[in-house]
Amino acid sequence: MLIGKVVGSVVATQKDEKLADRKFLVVEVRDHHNQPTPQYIVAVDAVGAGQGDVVLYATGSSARQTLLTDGRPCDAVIMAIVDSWDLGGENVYEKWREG
Amino acid sequence: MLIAQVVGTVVAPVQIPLLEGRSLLVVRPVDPHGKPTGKTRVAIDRIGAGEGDRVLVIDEGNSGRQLLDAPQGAVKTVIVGFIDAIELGGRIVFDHRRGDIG
Amino acid sequence: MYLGRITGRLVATTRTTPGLEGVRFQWLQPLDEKGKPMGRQLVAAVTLDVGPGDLVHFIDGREAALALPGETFVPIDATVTGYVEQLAIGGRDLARDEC
Repeated sequence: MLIGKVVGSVVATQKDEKLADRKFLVVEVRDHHNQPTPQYIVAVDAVGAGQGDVVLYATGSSARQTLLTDGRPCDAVIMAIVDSWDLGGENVYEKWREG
Repeated sequence: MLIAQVVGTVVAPVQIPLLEGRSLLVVRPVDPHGKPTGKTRVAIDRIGAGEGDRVLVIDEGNSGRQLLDAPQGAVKTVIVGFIDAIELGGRIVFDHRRGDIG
Repeated sequence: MYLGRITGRLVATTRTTPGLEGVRFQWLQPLDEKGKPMGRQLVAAVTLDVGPGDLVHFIDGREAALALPGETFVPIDATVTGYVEQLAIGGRDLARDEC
């Protein structure tokens, strides 16, 4: 899995019927230091994430292993909202601190 | 399937149950001429390969599960054959007794 | 499967997709056969007794979900599959090196 910050959403009224009623979020991919990378992805939201949330997302066929995405054309799914992490014993991110 | 060079061995005392008792080797994918290409992997050894051997590796779940007869197994990277020789356009570019040729 | 070193712990327990209860997450730096970083750090599911500093092997793709002991219909694309105690490359044990 990789992490990213939800920075927006995609509205697409004309789309494959298998994707109806799915929420698409624009995710700015972050590295392990919580620094933005130049990469953005669009992921189906399976946890109710919102603007500003730092999230975990899965890609490839693993992304279809949720009730929302099973058997549907989806290659990235947000599967958790990140609470916190540390690296080498140092705290890098705390959700409550983000405000 | 990948052509790869066996570059090392792995001893892992704590593993998921499927891997217990299986031999694991570090393999580095190479092109037909022996030049490194792609990411270094850890593979389940099915043929008794050793360091320095040129081998055939599959890196795909469905084939891996068939080979280990584990329909729900977490298996992807498996060494399936020992490469004796590689021929490219009518010319032998690798022979296991002589190594890479030109 | 690939080699990697655990670099940190990540907490994402408040909101995840169903089936991920009890699955821990850790940061992982993939390594090549020289013990050098290979690509960017990622987050892997962990069910074995490993932690930061440990050398491990891990599996990616859909098979990562099959490496979990419980529910396997989950959106997981990387899972730690073993703790590497010894990594012999050209007569050296890289597991003992700081890499």
